[in-house]
Amino acid sequence: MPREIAFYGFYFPTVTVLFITALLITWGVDRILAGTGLYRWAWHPTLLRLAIYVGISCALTLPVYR
Amino acid sequence: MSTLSKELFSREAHRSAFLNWRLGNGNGWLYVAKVLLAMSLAYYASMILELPHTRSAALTVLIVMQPEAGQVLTKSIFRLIGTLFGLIAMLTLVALFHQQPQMFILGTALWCGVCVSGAVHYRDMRSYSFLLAGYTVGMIGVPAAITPDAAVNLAVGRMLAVVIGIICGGVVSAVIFPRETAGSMRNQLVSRVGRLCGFARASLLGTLDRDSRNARGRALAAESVSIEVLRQAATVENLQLKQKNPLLKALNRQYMAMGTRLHSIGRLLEQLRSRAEESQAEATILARVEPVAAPLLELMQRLEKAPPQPQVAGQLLREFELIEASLKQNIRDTRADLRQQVTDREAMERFDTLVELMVRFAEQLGQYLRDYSRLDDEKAPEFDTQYTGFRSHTNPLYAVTTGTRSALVILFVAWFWITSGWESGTMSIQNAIIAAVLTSTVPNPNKMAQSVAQGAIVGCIVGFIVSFFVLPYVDGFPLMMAAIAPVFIMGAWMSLSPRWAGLGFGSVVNFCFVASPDNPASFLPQQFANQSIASVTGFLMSCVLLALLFPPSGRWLHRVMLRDMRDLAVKALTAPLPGLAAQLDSRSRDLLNQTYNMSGGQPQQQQIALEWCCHIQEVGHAVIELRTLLRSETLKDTDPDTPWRQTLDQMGRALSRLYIKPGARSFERAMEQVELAIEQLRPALEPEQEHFSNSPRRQLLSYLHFIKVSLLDPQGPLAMYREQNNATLEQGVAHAA
Repeated sequence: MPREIAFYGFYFPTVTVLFITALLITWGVDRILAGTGLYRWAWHPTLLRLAIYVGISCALTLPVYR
Repeated sequence: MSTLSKELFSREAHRSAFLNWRLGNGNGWLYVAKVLLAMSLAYYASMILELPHTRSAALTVLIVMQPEAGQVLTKSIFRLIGTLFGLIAMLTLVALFHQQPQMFILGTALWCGVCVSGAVHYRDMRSYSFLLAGYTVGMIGVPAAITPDAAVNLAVGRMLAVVIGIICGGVVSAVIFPRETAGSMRNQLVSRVGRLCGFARASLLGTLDRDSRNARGRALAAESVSIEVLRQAATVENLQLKQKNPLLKALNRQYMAMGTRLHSIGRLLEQLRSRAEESQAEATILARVEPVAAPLLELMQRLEKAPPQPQVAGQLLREFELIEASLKQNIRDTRADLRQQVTDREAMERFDTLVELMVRFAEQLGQYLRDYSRLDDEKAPEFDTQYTGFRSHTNPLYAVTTGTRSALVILFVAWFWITSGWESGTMSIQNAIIAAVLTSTVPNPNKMAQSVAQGAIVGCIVGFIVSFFVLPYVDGFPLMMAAIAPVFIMGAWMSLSPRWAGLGFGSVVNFCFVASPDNPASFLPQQFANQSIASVTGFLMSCVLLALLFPPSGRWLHRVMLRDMRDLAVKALTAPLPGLAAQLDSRSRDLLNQTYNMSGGQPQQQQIALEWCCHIQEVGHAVIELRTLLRSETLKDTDPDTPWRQTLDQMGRALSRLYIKPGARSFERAMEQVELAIEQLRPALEPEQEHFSNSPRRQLLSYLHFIKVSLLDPQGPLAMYREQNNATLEQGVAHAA
């Protein structure tokens, strides 16, 4: 994966784009998990959401710097 | 050890003391710790990434972290969107107008005006976006316009600092000991049952005088609005709670309706009491009122002392049904007795009205308890969703004038900057924009702007000390944070108390502007002096201008809000019936809340608003009940040409005219029509042996009587028209004599 993505002359770091993508994916996963009622068992639901986001964004961004 | 010291030092005592502290001051210290942590993270991130403007990150953290919690992540997302829009708008303006300063300033002022209008008008999440869009323009706009070749880099760099501030503030707020709105909403729901019962008991006993009744009415309005806000926040946060949304809305709506009824009952009892001194009939009636409601009063007393949890309320339902039945029986017996003793027809009608209200209140309370007991149920209960929710929106005129005010402030400061050629004027205009934008959504903007300006001076002094006597000696990030932590601790702690909130906020904001450690660090006294003077001047100018131009405490805005309230009464007369009572309740309380907040330091205007609100609620509800009765099964087939039907229609029209344009003549007309309607209805009543609940025409009469009593209230908002009429009558008599 390239380190930077060019967009009409602007160079965006790929990591930034992947962070935003991970945010959207996490939002979708969050809606699904909330429907199943997982968050009732979670000790700290927001922390769980944050952890899911960190996991997904790490998974996405590791290939960039591999 | 003696028993006393054993008690004082026991574990129980420690535990309860700790819990007390945690719920009180402990929350405050937790908030301060969270602000400090978020600040440290923001500084660290922006220093590590070598962003040019670390103070933007610090400032944004301050603005984002408010003591009220809830929905932090959603708010952060909306703020990020707003920042993005601000960035795009700013870059467009710079690209178009970097050679024409006047057009640039005009564009900036226009954009900020629109943002402020939007922030004030929309009461939901969108207001955060608008706020941040205006704020971003203030932070990045003007410096970017001065150096157009580096504009994009500068703008993006500062925007990144703002984004880091939002993210740090949001994450720390949401993750570290968050205050869950669902929990606090439930606590409020439980405790307010106790408050309602206390209010009910005091009203039914007639022990409330006018001022305490008004105070309770006002407290109820504020409570309804705040619980509605909590409900919206909690149902978005908590998806399970979202399924219970119709139940929560129904609870709120019933609570408000009961509040109105209790207010009316209290007023009627007060009138009865004042008349009982003169007339024997009223005294007899008054003596019989309390025993009628005795079992209900006893229940209210129990519930007030120990507000019930939902399961306990479920167990109370059987008991409540019995109490309701006994109440109705008591009323029938008392009515039969009184009919033999009392011959005054008007006094009996007053009794009928009073007990009708009591019965309705008891029915509503039963329904409320039934719904309340289902609060913790696993499965969401079925509800009719006709009620579309608490309609709260700000008067568009208010939003437009606030936006125009902010735009004018910015224009004035910018004109001053351009014509004087003041080099540090960029700082001035930055601060003016930020002051105008951030104080727009606060209830009392003028006062807030003043305290922020005072805080700015304090911030400069503190900044000077820290910047030149502390920071040059520290090395490395931890020592730097330790050096500036006391400032933030003091500022955050002050912003918790309502009296010092503006001062605290202003001092920390200005500290960030002039003395925040930057990347690279700079210790130039001349620059510091220039920037301090410029920032304080910016705050002062915006504060003065905001107080001068269209102040929200002006009389014209008050008149507009009162007109909106009177429109509610007109709507009660003419609009379609489904959901109308709930709309009346919610809109009137929302308007009252807004008017109260706007006329902060003017108790007389607040009093007028409260009187109108209570009056409109009473008359509105009576009218709605009238209309519902007319449409009910037993009455809707009556001939519309019967005299009493016709006079009812005429009365409706006269009342509309009165509320559209209150005046002595329209008041006189309305009074005439109401009395005419009562006269016409009396011959058409059902025979007295029938039960009251089966005689809708007698119920109609009781509502007409109630409307008449409301209109004649000597301390109500229409009293002055009555006095005018009496005065002209007396003059007429004097002339004739």
